[in-house]
Amino acid sequence: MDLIMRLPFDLAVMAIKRLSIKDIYQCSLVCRSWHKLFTDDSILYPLLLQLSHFDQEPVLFHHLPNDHASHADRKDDPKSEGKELEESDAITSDLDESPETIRLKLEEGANQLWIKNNRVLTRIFQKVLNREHRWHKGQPTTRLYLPPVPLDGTDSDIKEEWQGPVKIIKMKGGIVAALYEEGKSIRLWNLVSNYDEIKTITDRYIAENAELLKAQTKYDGPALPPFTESDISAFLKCSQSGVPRKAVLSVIRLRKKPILFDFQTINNLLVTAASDGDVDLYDLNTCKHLRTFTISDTRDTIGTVHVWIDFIVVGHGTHITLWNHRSGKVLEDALPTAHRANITGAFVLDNENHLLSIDETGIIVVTDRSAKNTETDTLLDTPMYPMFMVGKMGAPYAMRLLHMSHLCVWGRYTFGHYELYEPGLRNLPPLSTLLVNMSDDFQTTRITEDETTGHSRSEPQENQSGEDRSLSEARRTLAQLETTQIDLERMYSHIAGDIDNEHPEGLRLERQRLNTVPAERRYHMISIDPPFENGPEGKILTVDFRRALYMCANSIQICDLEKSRNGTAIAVSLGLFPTEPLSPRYGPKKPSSTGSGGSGAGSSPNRASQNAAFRISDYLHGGRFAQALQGEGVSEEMRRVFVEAFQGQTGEEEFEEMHRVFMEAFQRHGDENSEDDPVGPYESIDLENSTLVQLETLFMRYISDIRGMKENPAYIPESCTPEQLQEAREYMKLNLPELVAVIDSDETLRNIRAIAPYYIQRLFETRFNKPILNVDHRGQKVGVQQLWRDMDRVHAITHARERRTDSRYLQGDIMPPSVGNLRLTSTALDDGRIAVGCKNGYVVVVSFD
Amino acid sequence: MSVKLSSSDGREFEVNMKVATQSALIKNLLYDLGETDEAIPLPNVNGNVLEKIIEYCTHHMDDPPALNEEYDDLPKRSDDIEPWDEKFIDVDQELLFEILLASNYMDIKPLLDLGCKTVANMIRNKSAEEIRKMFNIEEDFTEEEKEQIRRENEWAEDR
Repeated sequence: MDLIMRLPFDLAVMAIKRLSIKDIYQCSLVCRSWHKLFTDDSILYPLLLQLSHFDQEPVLFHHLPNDHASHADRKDDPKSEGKELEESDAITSDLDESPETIRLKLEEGANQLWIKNNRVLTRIFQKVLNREHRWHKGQPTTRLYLPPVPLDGTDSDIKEEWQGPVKIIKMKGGIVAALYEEGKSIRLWNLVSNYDEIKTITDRYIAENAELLKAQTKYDGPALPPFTESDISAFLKCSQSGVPRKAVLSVIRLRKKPILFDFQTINNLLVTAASDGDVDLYDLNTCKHLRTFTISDTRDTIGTVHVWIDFIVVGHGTHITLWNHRSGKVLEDALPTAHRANITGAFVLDNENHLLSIDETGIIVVTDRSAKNTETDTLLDTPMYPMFMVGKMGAPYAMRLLHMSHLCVWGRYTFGHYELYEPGLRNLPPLSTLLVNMSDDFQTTRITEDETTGHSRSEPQENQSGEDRSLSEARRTLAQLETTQIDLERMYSHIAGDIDNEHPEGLRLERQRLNTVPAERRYHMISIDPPFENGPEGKILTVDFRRALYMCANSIQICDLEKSRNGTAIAVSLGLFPTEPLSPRYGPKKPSSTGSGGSGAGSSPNRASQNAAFRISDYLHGGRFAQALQGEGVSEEMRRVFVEAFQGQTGEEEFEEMHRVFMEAFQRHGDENSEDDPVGPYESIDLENSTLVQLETLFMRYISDIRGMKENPAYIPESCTPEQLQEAREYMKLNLPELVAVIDSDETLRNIRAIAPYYIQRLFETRFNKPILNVDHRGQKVGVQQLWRDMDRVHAITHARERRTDSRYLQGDIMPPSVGNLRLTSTALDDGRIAVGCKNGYVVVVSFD
Repeated sequence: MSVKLSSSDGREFEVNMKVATQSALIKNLLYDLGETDEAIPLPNVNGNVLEKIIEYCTHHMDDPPALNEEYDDLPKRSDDIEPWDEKFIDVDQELLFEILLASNYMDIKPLLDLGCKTVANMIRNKSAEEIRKMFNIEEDFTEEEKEQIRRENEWAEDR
């Protein structure tokens, strides 16, 4: 018998817990005995529970231990209640007995029973496995296009309700909510309506077994009857992957135009905040307005609004206002915090006595409501790596709090992941999980510096030397943790410094030194970021614990953080256009590294694609960004446009200019150091391994040059020699024939550039074995031309003067330029999907399930 | 101060108290029994394995004790093995198995963790075939079973 099968079951489980789902899948294929072991629910169930911390798979997310369940668990724990809870408002005790809490407990019990069924568990396991695989390849199953106005397919269906581009998009528990620029309504799409049948079955089961479910504890309880075969079949049917489903729309008509909104699916509430201080509460189910709260001090701009269970928390300026929306009670009216800059994110923490907030400089604060004294607020001891580009370069900072203990924080170019521990030491994890590897260079530097300069160590370090013997084991662990964090902060300040602040060692370190709150009264934050030196290209859109989304040009770059442990980001591209395979008369023809274009015979096609990479990140994270911007010959105007381009503030009119400057800036740098050319020499281009961004950059250059040569025979191409450009043109004629036809026409360069990304994306996607399904809002598979037609009609509402009548569009496989407005403005992310709000008001939901 | 340990094959080891009490089993025994000159019998651990465990505990005797792990549901890492530990645990599978059992029996959590990490690392990123080779396993699926697994995993096999 082999090692694994000889191990006692509990020891085998301990080892298996350290494997990924992919590893477990491979193990299940080894032999019969391994298959039985590795598909056992005692292996798979904890693994899925572990994933469900961050997983938004509805059947897992809604009712398994999540934020709310965690909240309820902690309420049961007398240690976590403590004195602070006794002193807090009585409203919190209402939750313990509320029907809502009981309902959630029953649903949680029933859902656990669902996924303990081996067939259901296996299905979910397979779904998760496939989903991971697709994420890693950047190949979703479907792209769902949700229009901003009612569409039924007729020419007269649009009732001029277009409210502008999507301003904010959020996605929680399978519901996507979009707020538009004009702010008259919020459109909500329920993407998981297929689970209604499961919900009905679950509700029936709960009604029949309520007493048994109530008697369940975390580890024990009376036996529950299993779901029937037909129930299981229903589950398996509705959880099939890659099946288009209708997104159920509901619209909330807003009382007042908001600047921000938030919602939660636990008790179906949506809250909006208007610039004049009005905060409106709506019911997600009925779409009705429930009540309005008003911030008394409206001098400060509202920076964040958040709804959680019974609470609405609003950050305005450096203050926080907190309401209980159920009772209508004002719990805090403009509570001062220790922030010195505007708050951009705020949450209520578990015991409701503490508020977690972040400001636009990246400082994180826990405000103790009972203390009412900002001097005692906890400034979390965060190393904030890699957020050394603070201030205007990094702001504004945003955050997501998952499971009430896991915090994702991100600015424009950097992000961090943290675990949050409440005051006291009880919850600190083992030391082995706290320590972060530091480079040998830094450790040497640190020791030398300490010896020679006697650099002032912060309080915990001094305590450690003086009272080491008297400290308890836990205290010593904490002291070591704090020292580690201080060391890290110093290390990063050595590397970069907080260049925008008056404190050369970093504002956070300075604030931390000034913090006099005893350690046992502070919340603690532990960085769990892996080393992450080279992010992919572009601006950070959103982050969770497993992925970061970047934006570059019109593409999304998905960075798999779990694959980045060695400090190098692995990113895949994701396009938004609805594509379909090349028509038979042209393809399919895969881009080839040895083809007639891109790289000719005898060239070096396999020169690493990294040389051809469009590495904006090198400029951003490696300091060369700043260097390039500050370099001689870079005008103020160029700096402004460049920075605004990354900040997403450029309008359509500036796009052309931005693009030109973009190229100019990188070209300049490339001239200084040819190895850093963003695309690389013509001979080195490897089309097959290039990302979508790289392809787009490359072909946009060719387009400019081909057009330049067409208009002026004496034109000298910038991207390559005239001979090579001719070769590239031949390649494009074979693989991008429609685009070449447009280039050869009299179409404006601006329109060509609007059209080109579609064809480039389609070429990019020929590398996928299966095409990505295009689905419309009715849940129907649909061709690109139908989607183009709808988008063009929506575009016509607001751009009537630009309405084209040219019959080339929509007939000869030529995309209308208006579809080029499918440019992202806002994104949201969960484990199965990316939801993207676009400039033309469309919401595109890219599904990996 | 030292304590004597006796292995299943009758070998006796005299070790420093700090070394011995890294085992929660011995620590509790000493607490219950008080100081004793008699060797503490460890009937489930043979001499070779006990010698190896003493080597580990001696190396780690000044480490701060690990706190209780309350976060069972969080992902576990196994890529953070110290170089000395990595060399220590670089043993054949039979001895690794014995160390795992012994560390579990003697309740030496860091060593148990080290063993589990090592086992996980033996499997990680390997194909089923590579795992079979690693653990000297013969595939014993019937054709019908293979077909059924393929059917069940048609999505997982989606490439």
